[in-house]
Amino acid sequence: EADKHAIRQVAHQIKPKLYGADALARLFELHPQTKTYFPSFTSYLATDPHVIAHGTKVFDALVKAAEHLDDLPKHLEKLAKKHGTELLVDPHNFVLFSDIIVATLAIHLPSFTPATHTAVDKFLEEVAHQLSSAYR
Amino acid sequence: HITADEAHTIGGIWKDLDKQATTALAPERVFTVYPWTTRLFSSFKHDFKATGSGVQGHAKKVVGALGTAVDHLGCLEAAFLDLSKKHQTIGVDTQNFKLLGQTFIVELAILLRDGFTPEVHEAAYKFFLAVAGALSAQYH
Repeated sequence: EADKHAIRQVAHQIKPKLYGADALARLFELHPQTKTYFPSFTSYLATDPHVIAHGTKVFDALVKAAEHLDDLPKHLEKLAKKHGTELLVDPHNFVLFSDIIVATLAIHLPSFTPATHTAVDKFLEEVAHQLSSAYR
Repeated sequence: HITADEAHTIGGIWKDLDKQATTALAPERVFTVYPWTTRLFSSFKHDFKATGSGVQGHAKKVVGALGTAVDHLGCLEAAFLDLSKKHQTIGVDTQNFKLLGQTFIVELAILLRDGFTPEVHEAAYKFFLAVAGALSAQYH
């Protein structure tokens, strides 16, 4: 319950456009191989409209997921199916992105205690697990 | 491979870092977020806070090793030859080196805020990845 409270607290403070673009640009910077999934992008910087649009989408989805902590598998079913059968993004990338999202939150949130960090890490692990669940 | 630019960035951060403060915080964070990493620290008597004497003492050693790494970016494996062997003898799972790196990155993010740009982030990530690799190199 303490974790759930912390996750909702963090979700409440997230600015999807700003954090999303920043996190996605960091993913491209640290793990250049992730750019291969976005061949139409002309730039991979946080200022690029494509990066902003997709980053916002990801963080909007995370904020929504934080509102469904008690029925996460069902809530993420559609998105899991999309990743597992249509997009075919290597599921390892969810793990890489989770660490980057954690660092992005640490930069932007006024307080990111080890307890909050733990709750967010558990949440992202669960989301990554669900998104990886429909590949096979 | 750590580029000359990245080496410069790493050196700069290291020079400005309040080592005593940050380095005790990162172990506290790793012990909280990944509790299985406390396994080999029974001598800390269940005190895994940054202020605990066990954490403080160990953090001092970690800082020393990281300082060595910053000074030996081109030959990390050689610099960590004995330390790598020692960690296998103690029984540390090599995955834990990466986890400590991730918590250091989070502490740097909190500390540097806007200064923790994607470029700095990348240099720090590559640094801790290289350190983890060198610490794992002598496991057999």
